[in-house]
Amino acid sequence: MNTDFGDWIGPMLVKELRQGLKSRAFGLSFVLLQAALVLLITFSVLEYRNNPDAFKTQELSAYFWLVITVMLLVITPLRAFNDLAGERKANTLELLYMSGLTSWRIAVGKWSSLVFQSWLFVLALLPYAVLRYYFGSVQLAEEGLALVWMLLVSALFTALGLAVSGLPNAVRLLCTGAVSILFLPLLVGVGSIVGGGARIFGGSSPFSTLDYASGAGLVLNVLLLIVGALCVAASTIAPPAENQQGRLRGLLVCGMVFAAVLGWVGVFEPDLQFFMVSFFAFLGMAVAGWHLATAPSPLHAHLEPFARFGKLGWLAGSWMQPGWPGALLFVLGLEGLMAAFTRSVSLKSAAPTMAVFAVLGAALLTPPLLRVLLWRRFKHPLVADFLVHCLSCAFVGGVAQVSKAALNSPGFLFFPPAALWAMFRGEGGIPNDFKDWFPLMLSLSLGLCLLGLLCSRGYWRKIAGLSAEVAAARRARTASKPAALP
Amino acid sequence: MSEVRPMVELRGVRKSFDGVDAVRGVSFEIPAGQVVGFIGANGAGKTTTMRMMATLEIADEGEIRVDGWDVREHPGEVRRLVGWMPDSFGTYAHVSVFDYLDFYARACGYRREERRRRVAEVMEFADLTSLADRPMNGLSKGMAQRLCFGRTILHDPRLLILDEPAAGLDPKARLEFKNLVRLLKDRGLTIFISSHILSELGEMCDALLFIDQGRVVHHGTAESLQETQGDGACLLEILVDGSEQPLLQWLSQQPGWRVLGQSQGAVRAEHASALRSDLVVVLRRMVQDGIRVSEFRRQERRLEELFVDVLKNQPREGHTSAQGRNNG
Repeated sequence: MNTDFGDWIGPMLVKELRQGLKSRAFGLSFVLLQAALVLLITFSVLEYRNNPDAFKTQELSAYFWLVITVMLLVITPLRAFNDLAGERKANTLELLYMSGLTSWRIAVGKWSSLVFQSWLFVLALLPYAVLRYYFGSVQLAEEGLALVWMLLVSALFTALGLAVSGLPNAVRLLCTGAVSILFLPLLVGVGSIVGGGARIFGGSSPFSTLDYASGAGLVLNVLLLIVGALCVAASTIAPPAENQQGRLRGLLVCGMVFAAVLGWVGVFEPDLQFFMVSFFAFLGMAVAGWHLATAPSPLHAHLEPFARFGKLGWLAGSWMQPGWPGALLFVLGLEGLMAAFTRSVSLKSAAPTMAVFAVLGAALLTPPLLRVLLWRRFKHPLVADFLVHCLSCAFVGGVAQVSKAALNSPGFLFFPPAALWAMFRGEGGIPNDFKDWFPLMLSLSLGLCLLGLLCSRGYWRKIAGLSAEVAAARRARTASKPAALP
Repeated sequence: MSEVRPMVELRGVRKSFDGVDAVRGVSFEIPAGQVVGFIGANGAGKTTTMRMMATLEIADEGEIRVDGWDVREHPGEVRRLVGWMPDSFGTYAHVSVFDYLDFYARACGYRREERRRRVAEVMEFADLTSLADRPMNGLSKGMAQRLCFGRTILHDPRLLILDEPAAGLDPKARLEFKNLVRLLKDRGLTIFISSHILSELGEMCDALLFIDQGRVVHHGTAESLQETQGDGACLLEILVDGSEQPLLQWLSQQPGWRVLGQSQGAVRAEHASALRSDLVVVLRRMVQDGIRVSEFRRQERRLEELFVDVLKNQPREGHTSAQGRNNG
């Protein structure tokens, strides 16, 4: 049988790989890299032959790891930085949708192609890595582990780059500026943490001391983050009928639950468990902030996946509906999950974190609700929400100088509206004990959610109507199926 | 008797961009197997309407169905039925003509031998076989349009939506393209095609749809357009032996005549009545009055003229309609 390897992998990956491997940039950099490494090894051999005692393997390793770090943590993510924007600019995305490819498959195809190409580079470097071993002072196992971490982080950075590439031009420019400013510190910091940088600048990576269980747990969490970044990338280019927002929210909740379970079964230490759960919850809040600025689009296609579970499915799926009403329920759900989780752990930091979390929920909901109540026709609602946060920050920090009192409790500095509310309470400052704030902030969050639900009652009525239609269509399909033979 | 479902149905479709209406309550139906020409000035709402039919825009109001499927609710099913050819499409660097079609065939779900066979069929049909290894970003406009057309029909759609497919093509490429459309029509495909070259549309299409300022202003055959727009008048070309001046003078004295053009020994004019008996009387009187008529020909009005007449008869509004996404 005439088999084709390309049939086993996605069409997008086949196309991107063909395109990428044929490009002049890939060919040229591949050849140049090989030439540079051949020269480096040749000089090292000559130097070693002349004076074996004075030869330092670390110097050779530093060059070697510099190449790998730049390749994996800089060049590959940078190649992703313009990928989806280029596709949009070239007017090719629509033709891809018309062929039946979903935005998720497009994003995954592009990401996997870039990752495969970076692996190809790394594979081409392996012979030189092995040659280094003969000069001595090379710990192959440790370096192998560092390389795995580098590949994983490179994959994450590439996914993040792809997520940014689908965003509007202004946001992309902002991100480009931020990355340019933080470029060297980021490279050194991340490189050192994951291992490559430690070999360039000396020292050791904290990841090399991780036990297997924690390492495996972290790997799985990084993988979840990669999927999350790809979800963001997909949702930036998704047509309205695709519910990428719901997928992303579901993934973040999965991340929270997964991290909590890893802690309960003993893989994560309680501190790490708490950190990871809070991390996913905060990411969820950030995503909710973004989704709260999007308009709802009630469609059959968004309700179909939940129809098979009846009313329960509809209830469970309501917080996954795209647009601000669904995001509002998502915020409420996240707070509920966090409240349940913090009650289950006995850490000292749990209660204050929950209070900060409740504050963040209330803060996130306020600008979109103001928009909905006062003026719905904002052209750029995300920018409007962001400006409200900035204004409240400037007011509290600059005019009311509440930030002075907040210096003792730095957690609040990240959430300016919290300080604003503190001022309205008339206490003249923010109390250090966040625990006292929790009931108030949670009630405020709940009150805002209730208000939001009231504002979106028309939307929910439409969703209920559509759900009934979807369920009826499903029942009709089931009824028309031929009965199974006994 | 069961009613045949139209391939395309639009009901009260509206779409605006940034508060400016691009399409205002468009409604029409296209029966299966018809070739329909979509005509309108730049900014009339053609491209926006076509994009909505192809699931690429969502209508603010109204309903669009393709073979019974709502484009808003079931875009996946509609995309399987529709082949969309935009007026301009992006190319990929380092991708050959074969690789491009192969990629789309994979995306459409074709596997192994079936995919190779389908790509070969489409390349043969669109006359791309000799270009298989050429990089797609090095093709001429005509070749690129053929490639785009090949991609459009790759998944064997039942409805083709072609937005300005002949724009920028030389006469030879236009003729080739027209032949491709004709072949697909013979295969029973429904084709919705917009073009600025109206004479070509008149030859290809079973029906014409005129759109102006986001509204459909005519939907029918070219013949029905001739009838409705003429107001009972007809165009005549009259050739005389010698100077045309006596004829011009005669026409100016007779009621019901309007001179449209003149050249050496020939006059193009409109007569108020298109009735054959009236024309016989007119010709007889012309000869009796000493006009040396050598030819007296009735002419069909050109599609361009009819289009302009249709637009003239429409009430104009104070503002121009939205540009839509592209030029329609």
